[in-house]
Amino acid sequence: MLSYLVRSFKQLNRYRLRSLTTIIGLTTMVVVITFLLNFTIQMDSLFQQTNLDFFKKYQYLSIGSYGNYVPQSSFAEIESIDGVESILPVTQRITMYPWINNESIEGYHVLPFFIKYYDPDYAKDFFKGDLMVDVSEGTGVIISSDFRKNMMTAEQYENSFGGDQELKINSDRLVSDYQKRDFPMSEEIVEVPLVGKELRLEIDDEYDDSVKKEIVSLEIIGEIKSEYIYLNKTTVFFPFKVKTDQRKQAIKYDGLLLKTKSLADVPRVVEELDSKGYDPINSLKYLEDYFNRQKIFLYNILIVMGIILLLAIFSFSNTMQSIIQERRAEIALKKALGATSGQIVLGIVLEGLLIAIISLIVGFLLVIGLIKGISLMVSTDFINPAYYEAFKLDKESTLFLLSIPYSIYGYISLATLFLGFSISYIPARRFFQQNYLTLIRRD
Amino acid sequence: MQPIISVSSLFHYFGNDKEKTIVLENVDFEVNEGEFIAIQGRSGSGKSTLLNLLGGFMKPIQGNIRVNNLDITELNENQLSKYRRNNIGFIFQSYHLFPNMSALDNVEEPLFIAGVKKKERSERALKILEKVGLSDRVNHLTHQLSGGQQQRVAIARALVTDPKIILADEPTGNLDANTGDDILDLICHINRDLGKTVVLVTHDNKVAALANKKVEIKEGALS
Repeated sequence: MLSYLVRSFKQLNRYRLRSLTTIIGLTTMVVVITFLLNFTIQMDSLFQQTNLDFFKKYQYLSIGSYGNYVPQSSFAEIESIDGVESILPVTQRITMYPWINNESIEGYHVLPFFIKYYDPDYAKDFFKGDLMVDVSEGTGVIISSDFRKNMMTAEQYENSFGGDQELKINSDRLVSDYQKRDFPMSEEIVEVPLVGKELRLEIDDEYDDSVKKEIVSLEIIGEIKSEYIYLNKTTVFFPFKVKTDQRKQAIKYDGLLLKTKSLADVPRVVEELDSKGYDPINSLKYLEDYFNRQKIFLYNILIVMGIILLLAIFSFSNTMQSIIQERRAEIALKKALGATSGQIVLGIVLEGLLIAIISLIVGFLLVIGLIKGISLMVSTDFINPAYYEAFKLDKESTLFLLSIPYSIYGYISLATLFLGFSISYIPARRFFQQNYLTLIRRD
Repeated sequence: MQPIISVSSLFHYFGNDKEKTIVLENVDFEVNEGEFIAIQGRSGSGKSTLLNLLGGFMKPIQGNIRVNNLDITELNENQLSKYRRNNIGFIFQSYHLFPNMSALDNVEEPLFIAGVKKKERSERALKILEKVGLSDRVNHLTHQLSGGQQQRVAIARALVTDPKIILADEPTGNLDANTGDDILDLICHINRDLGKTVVLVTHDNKVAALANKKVEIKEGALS
């Protein structure tokens, strides 16, 4: 077998111009397909992790967030809309850098988060035990994550609460455990266990200057981790109990979460809310639209990959065909000297496989080089960070798409080897169907 | 003596049923081991077709060809390959050497096909090249050799697997008179001293006179 390999290599060298053209074409295909397949598989696996059933079960509609306040006087009117099962008044206070005024948690600051209070009178009814958060008097949650308004809406935060989330009391957990992945915007976080701690927060409202700053004392009672699918990040929820009595006076409930009786009620309720000027956001529709758009995009990529593969098979097998035609006298002569068809096909197939292996090695080296280069440019801020903002790109997401799992290298290797095999085997077999021995006989 | 080649009732034509050109009809002959037989005939008489049939490059429409006790008309494509590998050495008019390969590589090729190891291949090929007088040309590429030298390489290649039969198709057709004589001397030596059975196709009476048996084909039949 080794002697056949050496011979095939010599043959490639003899027809080096054609071999080189094929190798360049195949290498380009390897590089393009590796990146496309990686993108498709990684994005698809993220979508697979998204449990839309959960969102269907908890059909939340959200109104009154981000400054679009709903006056408390309207709660009764909204609750009475036909199809609405229950409402949950919510206060959402959003701030990027809340200062935590507690000397016992020294150095713990600039944790980006927003804080949400639930009205305890409504919360128990609304969740009906589905959420494993303690919804007793003065309950709320600090939602902390990589906080970007463009990337995540309040509704998505809301929906990441779920029946499958487990409240985990873990007082040993350190904030720094989350630090790298979850708080990339905060560079000054130090190691502080949060569960069981008392926090005094000074909170302002970036959308409404008239709202005066609140000082609230909270006790963190646990943590809920929630995977954020399409950003591939973890968001952490810290449920808390309010320790001070000031809360009742300070908090105005200005938003609503709203649950319909059934899925079928959603369009009608949305329409009615629209007509009353409440600007509702249907979380399920938002997500479904988002995922559908993404999936169509991925299908398009798959189609493009299919076309590239077909073109590759077509053009490379034509190249091999012409190489074989050029060598037909030589092949006929080998038959005359006693070579079996199998021996000749083996030689040609080994050439195809060698082309595939060389293309794979060069292609993967190029892929790895490109990844290293791009990663270096991203990590060293070689690319001006302003561009990420300008093009609404997520720096971390870019990097995560650059980490290609070994399985993808495996798939590409198999596909390319198969391609190398088929582009040589098919024309070789086809060759033997011709009356090629006429080349060496004469009358 | 048992004949090494036995051809009986051979019938072959080209074309289809409606328009056929009969090239061989009722051909019967035998060749004994160690004989040198010349097949003569004009161009288009069917002599090369006969050689192609003996080489297993095509199958006759009718008739039998037994070579070395093997009816080659019954063999499939791969069995024919093996038959050629083990029994026949070919010498062609236009040499048919592998281009861009050295004389040594060309002679080694049949041994490579037969699965002989590299070391033994080289040894055997070098020995044969020496016998045909080319020991100083072993690493020359084929296009660097003269016509006579190329035909010697082809003869060495035909001999290297030690076949019992050499089929030669107008081996001097492309050579000048002197070089042609040298090649014929070599073929006679192969027959006489190495004991190979030689079947040589030619239209040249002078060449045919060297053989110890002559067969002439006229319009497809032996005369």
